[in-house]
Amino acid sequence: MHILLVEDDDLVASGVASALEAEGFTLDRFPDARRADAALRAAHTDAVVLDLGLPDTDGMKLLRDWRASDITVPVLILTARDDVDARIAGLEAGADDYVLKPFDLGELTARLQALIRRAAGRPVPELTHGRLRYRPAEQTVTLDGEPVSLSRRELALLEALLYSRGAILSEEQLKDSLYGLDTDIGSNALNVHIHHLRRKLGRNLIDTVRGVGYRLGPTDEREDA
Amino acid sequence: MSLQRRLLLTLGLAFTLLWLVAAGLLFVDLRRQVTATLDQRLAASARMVAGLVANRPELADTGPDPARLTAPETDGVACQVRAAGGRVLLRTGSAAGRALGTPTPGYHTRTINDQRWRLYTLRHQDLFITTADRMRVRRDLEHRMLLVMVAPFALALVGGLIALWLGIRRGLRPLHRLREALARRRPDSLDLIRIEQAPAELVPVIDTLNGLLSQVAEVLAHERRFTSNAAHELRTPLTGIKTHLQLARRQQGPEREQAIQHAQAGAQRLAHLVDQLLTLARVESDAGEEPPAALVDTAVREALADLPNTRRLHVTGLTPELAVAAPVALVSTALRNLLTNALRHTPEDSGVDLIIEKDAERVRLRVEDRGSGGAQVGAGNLTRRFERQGERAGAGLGLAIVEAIARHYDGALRFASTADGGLVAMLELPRARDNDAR
Repeated sequence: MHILLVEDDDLVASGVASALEAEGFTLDRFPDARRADAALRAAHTDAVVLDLGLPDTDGMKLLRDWRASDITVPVLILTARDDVDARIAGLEAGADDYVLKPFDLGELTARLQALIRRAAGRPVPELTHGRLRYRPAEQTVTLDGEPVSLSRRELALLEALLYSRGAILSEEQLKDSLYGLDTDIGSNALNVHIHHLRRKLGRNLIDTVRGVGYRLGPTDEREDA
Repeated sequence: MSLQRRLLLTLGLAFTLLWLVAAGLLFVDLRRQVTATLDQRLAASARMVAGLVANRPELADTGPDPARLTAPETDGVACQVRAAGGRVLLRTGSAAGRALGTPTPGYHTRTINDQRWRLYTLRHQDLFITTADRMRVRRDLEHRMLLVMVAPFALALVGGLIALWLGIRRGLRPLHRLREALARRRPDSLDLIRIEQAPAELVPVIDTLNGLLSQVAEVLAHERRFTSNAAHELRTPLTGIKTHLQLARRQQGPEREQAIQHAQAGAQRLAHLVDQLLTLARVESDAGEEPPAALVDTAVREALADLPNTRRLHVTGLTPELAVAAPVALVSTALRNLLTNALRHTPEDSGVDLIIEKDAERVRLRVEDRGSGGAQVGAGNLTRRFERQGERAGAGLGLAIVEAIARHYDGALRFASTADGGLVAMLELPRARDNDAR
C-alpha cells in the first residue's frame, strides 16, 4: 500500500513514517502542500495522511482542490484543532477520517487500514480469495489454514491484488504500491515478486494480461498448491 | 410606561384641552356677538316705529283699544308705544304686549308671564317706544349655534387624535423594529444590527452598538485564533514525543535510541514553547519584580549569550551608560527574540545588524536582517501570535512577546523594510533616569 504522508513537522513525520513502514506500508513523506500535490498526481496512491497546518497552503484547501479535480483517494486528516467546527469542516472538505493530535500510533494504523479497506469496498478486516486468507492488520497469510511466510514486498503485492477485486492493475500501479515514488527499481523486480508469490500461493493466483498488466486469477477449489 | 403610550397620553390630552378651550372661547365670543346683533335689531325696530309714529301722529290716536300694531299676531316679539303721561297709544295684541309695563329707556331683561323677555325702550320726543323679543328664541339660536359648532370641532378633535396616534406609531416604528431585532437575536450572536430606514436619531445608537459588537467579535476571534493556534503549537511537539515514545517501545537497539532522542527533542521544543507562553503571560500581568531599568549593554550581552551563532551579528552604537526603563530580563528576551528571528530569516552567508540609537527621551534598538521579510511590513500579522512566516520559523510567538514587552513599558515595536527587501524591526523603549539603572 502506497501512502503519502503530508506533515511539515519533522519530528511528527519521522515518527509516523517509522511506524507505518514497520506496518508494511510503502511511504513517501512531504513537508508541504506543493510537493505533496505533485506526488499525488504523479503516482498511484492508496491513501493520504494529511496534516492541516502546512506552511504553504492550508491542508483543507489542498484537500478541496483534490476533491474538485476528482481525486478520490482516501484521506485521513491529522489535526491539532479539536473544535467540532474544524472536524466538521474537514469531513465536509472531503476527508474520510481524522485523527486528533497527539494520537496513538496503533489507532492511526488501524484507521488507515480501515480507510483503505472501505475504499476498496471490503469492510471486513479479512480478505479471502479461494483457499487464501489475508488479515491486513496482522499481515498474516494462510493457505488452507496453514500460515505462509511472505516478504514485505510480496505482502504488498498480494494486498494490492486482493484489494483490486479482479480489476487489471498496470505494472506502474503495482510498482507505486510496492515502492512508492522510489524510481530506482530494477525492471524485473516486480516480475521476481510475482514469480515468488505464484510459487508460494499457486500458479493461478495471478493472471498476466499481456501488454496491460496483472490481475487476481480465478479461484479454483480443486487446484493443487 | 412605554414611550408610545406616554407620547399618546401627553399629546392627546394637550390636544383635546386646546381644542376644547378654543371651542369654548369661540362659542362665548359668538354668543356675545349674536346678543349684540339682536339687541341692535331690537333698537332698530324701536327707532323705526318711533319714526313712523312721529311722521303719522294720527296712528297714535287709537281710542280705547290700542292693539293696532299687530296684524297678524306674531309670537315672540312685542311692541308698545306709550305717551309721556303713561297712556298706551299703540301696542301688539299679544299677552306679552299688554304686559310690557312702564318703561325706562335702555335695555332690560324681564320676566313676563313666566317667560324671559328682552326689552328696549326708546324715548322719542314725548313717546316711549318699547320693543321686546323673547329670550327663548335667543336661547334656541344659541343651541343651534352650539350644535353647528360641535360637529366640526368634534370631527377635528377626533381626526386630530387619530392622526396623532398614527403619526406616533409610524414615527416610533424604527424603535419597534430595533426592539424586535434585538429580541430576535440569540444572546451570543455578534452579528451587526441592521434596521431598515433608521432615522437620524437612531443611527448613532445603532452605530455605537454595532461598533461595540464588532469590537467584541474581534476580541473573541482573536482569542479563538490564539487558543486554536496555541492548541496546535502545543500539540505538535506533544505528538512528536508521544509518537516516538510509542515507537521506542516497539523497537530495539539503535532505532530505539533514535526514537528516544527524537522524543527528547520534542520535549525540548515543548519546554521552549511553554517558556515563551509564560513570558508572554508574565509581561501581560506585570509580575516583574525587578526595578524597571536596565543597562542596554547588560541586556545585549545577556541576549547574545543565549544565541547560537553570534558571528553573523554586528552590533553598533553600544554605549556603557545607556539605560532603558524596563527590566533587564525582559529587554534581553525581546532582543533575543528579534535577533533569533532576524538570523533565522537571513541566509547563512550574510549578517544581521543590531544598531542602538538614542535621543534625549528614547532608546531605539534596530535589528536589520538580509531576508525577504520586508515585503510583509504593513500586512499587520507580523506580531500576531502563532502566525509563522515561512518554513524556517519557530512557534510564531517571538514577535508577539516583543510587542507585549514594548507596549507594557511604554515603548513601541515598529517594522520597516531595507532597500534590498530585508526586515527592520525597531524596538523603542523610554530611557531610564540615570540613578535608576543597575
